Amino acid sequence: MKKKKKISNRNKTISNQKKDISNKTVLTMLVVVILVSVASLWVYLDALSDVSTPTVKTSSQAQGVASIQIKDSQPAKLIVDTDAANGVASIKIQKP
Amino acid sequence: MKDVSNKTIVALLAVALVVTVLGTVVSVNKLGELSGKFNLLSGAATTSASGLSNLTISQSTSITNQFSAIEFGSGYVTVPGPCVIDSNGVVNGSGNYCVGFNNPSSGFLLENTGNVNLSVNYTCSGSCTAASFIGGTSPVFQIWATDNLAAGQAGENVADTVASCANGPFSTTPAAVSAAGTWLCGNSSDYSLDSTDAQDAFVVDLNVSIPADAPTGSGVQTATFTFNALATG
Repeated sequence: MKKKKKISNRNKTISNQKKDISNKTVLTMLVVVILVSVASLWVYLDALSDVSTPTVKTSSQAQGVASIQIKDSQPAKLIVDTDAANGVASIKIQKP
Repeated sequence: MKDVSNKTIVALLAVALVVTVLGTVVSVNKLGELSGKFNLLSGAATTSASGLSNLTISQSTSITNQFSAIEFGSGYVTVPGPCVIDSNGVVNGSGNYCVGFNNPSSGFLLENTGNVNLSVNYTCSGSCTAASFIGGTSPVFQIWATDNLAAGQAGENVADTVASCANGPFSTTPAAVSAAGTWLCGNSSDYSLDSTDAQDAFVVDLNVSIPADAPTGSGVQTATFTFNALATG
């Protein structure tokens, strides 16, 4: 009777162990956690070092454009003032 | 493979705990140092007795061109020439031998819109010599600067009441335009364009002298000026 009970308990334990996550899995998860913690610490410290050395903008630019076009030259109009005054000369040649 | 013992798991958990705690302590300490070093922007009172607050305003380096296009227009020159035009309007396109050109009356208006003193130089791209911008026999293409109290050009955020660039090198004499450019106000060690609104602007003018034999048919010639402002860090 006792022997039967012992065997029954052992079977229960083995059954429970099968359902449980193995220690290896736990170990793997722990290693991942440690790696993530260290990586996140490294990233944070790196970001802080960037913040502690701020860069100040010391230059600025502005632009401007100049333009010109030279066309075919056209001769300037010659303006000539004109005026006229009339005079009449007359002559009549007669026979002597 | 043999399973790892629970002792090992506990040891690893302890390592994880130490790393986490260490990380937290280091982070908090670093933040504390940062606050002490740069007096982070905050309006919070630093003492309960006086209600003192600290405010740190960072440096701003900024220059703005308030008038960005000088257009001499399109025209021709009658013999014997030359046709001379200044962008400040003193000598304009309606002068002797000039036909059809614009009458520009404004130069590039450069204003210090930051909060630190600046030095300003220029570089040029495009047609940046008298030969390429105008051509012909003995063309002239010059640049110079004038403080805006004297020039009186409109367009500043706040009009100047004191001459700018008065305490350092200032290129007020016309000089030939070049691609490499030169210093206009101040230089690499002298930052004489003040950030104070009352004296923070100057005008850059151009002068052209177009000979009668300047070549035609090459279309609109452009020169693009880049004004570089520098400040100490």
